[in-house]
Amino acid sequence: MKVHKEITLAVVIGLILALAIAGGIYRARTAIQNYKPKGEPSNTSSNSPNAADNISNSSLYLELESLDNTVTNTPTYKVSGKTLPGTFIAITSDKNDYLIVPNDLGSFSQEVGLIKGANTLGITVYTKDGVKVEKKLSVVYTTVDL
Amino acid sequence: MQKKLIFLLLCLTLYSPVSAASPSASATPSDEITQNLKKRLQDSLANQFPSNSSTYRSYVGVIKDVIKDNLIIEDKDGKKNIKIASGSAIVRSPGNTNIELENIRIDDYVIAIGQFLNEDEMESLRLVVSTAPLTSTTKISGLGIIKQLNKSSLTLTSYEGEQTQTLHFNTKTIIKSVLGTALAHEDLAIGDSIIYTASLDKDLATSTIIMRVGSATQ
Repeated sequence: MKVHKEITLAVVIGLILALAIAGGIYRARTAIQNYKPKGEPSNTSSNSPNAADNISNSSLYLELESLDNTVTNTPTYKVSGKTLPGTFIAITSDKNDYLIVPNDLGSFSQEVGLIKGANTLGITVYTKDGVKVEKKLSVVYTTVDL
Repeated sequence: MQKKLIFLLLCLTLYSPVSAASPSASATPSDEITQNLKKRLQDSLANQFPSNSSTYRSYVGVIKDVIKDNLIIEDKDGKKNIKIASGSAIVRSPGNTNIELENIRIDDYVIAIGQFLNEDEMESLRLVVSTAPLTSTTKISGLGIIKQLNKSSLTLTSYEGEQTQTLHFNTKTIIKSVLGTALAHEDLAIGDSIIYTASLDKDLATSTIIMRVGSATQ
C-alpha cells in the first residue's frame, strides 16, 4: 500500500516537472521570437523569408549618421545611415543622383559629389509599396581658408 | 523524507525556465538605457568635434532681420540667430566682392560659416550673401508603375493610382536593375515598377537614374 502511494506521488511530481519544463521552453521560445534589437522595427509576419515582403508591416524609418549643416573642403561628402532592409534609397544632390539599396542590416553609405557653395542633399527611402521617408542635409563645400 | 523531497521539487519547479524566460527577466530595459546613454554621448561628441574634415558649421537660408551685428535668418529647419564675429569676412555673390555689414539686406540669401554657440545660434566667420538663391532644389525622386512607354519618355502612376508623372529620357539617363546591372530602355516594360531620380526644369522632368525594382513579368 505504501509502495503504491509512493509511485503515485512520483508520477504526480514527474507530471508537474514535465509541465513546468514544457511551459518554460514554450515561454522561452515565445520570448526569443518577440525579441528585437533596439532600432529594429517589429515585424508581425515572421514566416516570410524575404525582408522586402515584410517591410510594409513595419514602420519605415531613416536614421542619418552624417551631420547636417556641415562645411567641407573636399568635393565629396559621405552620406550614411540606417533604414529598413529591403527598401530603396534615392539620394539627390545638385551634382549627381544615386539610387542604392541598404544591406541586410539596413545600413547604407554613399559618397556624394558636391558643387562649390551650398548643397542640399535629399535622402528618400521608399518601400516597394510606395511608402516613403525623406530627410535633407545641408553641406557647404568651400576651399576658402577660414 | 517525503516532505523534504516535495519541498525540494517545489523549489526546483519555482526556479524553472518559466520564470527565467518571463518578459520581466529580459535584458531590454538595461540595454535600452545603455544605448540611450551611448547615443547621447555620441551626439554630444559629434556636436563638439564634427567628424567632417572641417570643424566649422554652416547655415544656409534667407535673412529675415538685421539687428546690430546679429542676423536672424530662416533656413530649412526654422529661424537661426547669427552673431557676426569681429573681423568676419562678408562677401556678396556673384563676384565675391567684400561688403560691409550695412550692405546686408533683408531677404538676401545667405551662407553663414562659423561655429555653433548653442542650438539655433552661430558665431559666423564668413558670410556669403546674394540676391539670388544660393541653393536650388530642382531634383526629384519617386517610385511608381510604368503605364505608358515610348522612345523618349514614360508615364508612371503612383501605387495609390492618384498621381501620374511623365519622365523624359536623354543619353545621360542611367537605367539599372536592383543588383546594379545596366539595363537598356528596351528592357523596361509597361507594368514594371521603377524608382527614379530626375531633374526638374519648369514642369519638365528629365530622368537621371532609373532603377527597375519590380518586373511586370514576375
